[in-house]
Amino acid sequence: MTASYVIIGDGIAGSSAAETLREEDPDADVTVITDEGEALYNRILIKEFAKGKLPEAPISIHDDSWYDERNIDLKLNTLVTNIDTDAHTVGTHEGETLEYDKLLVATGGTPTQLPVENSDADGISHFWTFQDARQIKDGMEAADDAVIVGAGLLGIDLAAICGAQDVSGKYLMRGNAWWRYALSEEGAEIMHEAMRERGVEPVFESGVDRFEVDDDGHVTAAIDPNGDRYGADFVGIAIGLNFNTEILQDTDVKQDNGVVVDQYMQTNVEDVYAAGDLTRFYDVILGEYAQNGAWGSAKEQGTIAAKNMIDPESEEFRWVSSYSITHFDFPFLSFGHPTLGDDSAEMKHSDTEWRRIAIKDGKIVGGVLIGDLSPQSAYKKLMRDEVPIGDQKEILMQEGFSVDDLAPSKEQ
Amino acid sequence: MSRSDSHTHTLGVDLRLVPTDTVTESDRVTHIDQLSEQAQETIFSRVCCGSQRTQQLLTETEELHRGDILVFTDYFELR
Ligand SMILES: Cc1cc2nc3c(=O)[nH]c(=O)nc-3n(C[C@H](O)[C@H](O)[C@H](O)COP(=O)(O)OP(=O)(O)OC[C@H]3O[C@@H](n4cnc5c(N)ncnc54)[C@H](O)[C@@H]3O)c2cc1C
Repeated sequence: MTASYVIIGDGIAGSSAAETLREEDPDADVTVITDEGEALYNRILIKEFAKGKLPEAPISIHDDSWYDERNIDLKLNTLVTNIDTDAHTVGTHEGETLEYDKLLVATGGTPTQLPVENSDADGISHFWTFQDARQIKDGMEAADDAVIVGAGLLGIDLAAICGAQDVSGKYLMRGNAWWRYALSEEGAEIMHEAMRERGVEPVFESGVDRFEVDDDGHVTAAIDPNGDRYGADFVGIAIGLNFNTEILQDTDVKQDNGVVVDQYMQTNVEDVYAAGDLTRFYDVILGEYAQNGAWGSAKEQGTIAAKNMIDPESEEFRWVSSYSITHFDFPFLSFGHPTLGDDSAEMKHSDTEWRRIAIKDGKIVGGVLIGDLSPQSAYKKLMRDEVPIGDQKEILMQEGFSVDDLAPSKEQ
Repeated sequence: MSRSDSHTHTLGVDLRLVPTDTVTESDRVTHIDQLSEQAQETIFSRVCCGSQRTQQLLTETEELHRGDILVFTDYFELR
């Protein structure tokens, strides 16, 4: 019998699943549904496009013929509106009903809106899609002053776009440092300085209380909770993601700030799988449920989900995620779960070299490296092999550290 | 067709990473986070923080082709 696989979402998770399904089950019916108007593109390069450094074409990864050649039915501009897991069907906004044997939900997220007055004004952009990037590029090119909100990995992309487009920027942060859940003030200061060099000034203990607009409804300023006014004709916001799970509301699929899946990417409902940013997956290395928001992880989850859709529980997702910031002339890499842990170790080696590892139950669970990435593969290995590091934190922080420098563990 | 299809590669030849400002519509562009862990480690050893370790050989693979542009701490052309 020919199996029928339906994938909702043509991001990297959905697309890699489709590719794997086709490779491993040449006769199956594979359908990919996306509400976007374009096939898979490189979401992690749209920031380079918005900076004005990359033309459009290299952002595209697949065109329609990629799907045709693999006999994958791609439905663009098609919003899935409901799922009936008893009937094994999905419904679209056009009233079409598709049957599935196995379903993959890979719908990612939508940027969280800032819940303040005038946050929907002209000139205010959120950042997730290629369409957003086009709007941000146009907005920044026309702007003199920008305000950036959101002290995380996407916020810094907006700050870097601002710098690349020669727009003077104020980067409003609620705390005392950029990405304060993963970096100490000392580490974050390296990033702050890099932003300043590009004309973007971090503003701490700030945020947005409301936006002011002109008579045409275009943003003119952000007012922070201290009452300070920051004039801006462009505002970029990146304060988080809401996972696209509305389509699951009439199902029994378990959610817990994301779709809960096991290490095989299976949900609690038979024949329904999930992959990519929207999953809260069982992390076999960590020994608990976790989330990743990175390209490589989403791609691997799509591949693993597809393998298990064909042959249930045949392959686990076992992965140390990593995420780079590529806006500066020094490297920045975060890996694993740098915001978790009950302990940490950090060291500054120079004005542009800093590292921190997050430790949980005596084992590395993540970290951030700035400037010197040389220990990254050793740290990842220790994390992957779940090696107890005992009282050897200082050795881990030494320049030129390698796994062989650690004393053999007694706790095994 | 995909941008990763239909490319022949010369195995075993060391590639150079040459900073570039020019990207054209027909270039294949790859971000460092798209690469496998092994390819990333090779790039790291070549571009940065290589003072204490040996630079690894950078050869053509399915992931990295001669002529590609790599986005990392700069835009690099693989030559
Ligand atoms: C600006 C930006 C920069 C980034 N930079 C990096 C980086 O440097 N490194 C890194 O590792 N990661 C980066 N990321 C994160 C990375 O892009 C994501 O982790 C990854 O793309 C997630 O893939 P996904 O397939 O899970 O979800 P998505 O890419 O979000 O794909 C989900 C798709 O499903 C569609 N969809 C949603 N609901 C429905 C529905 N009901 N019906 C039909 N279709 C639907 C959506 O429109 C979307 O196309 C960045 C993200 C952004 C936005």
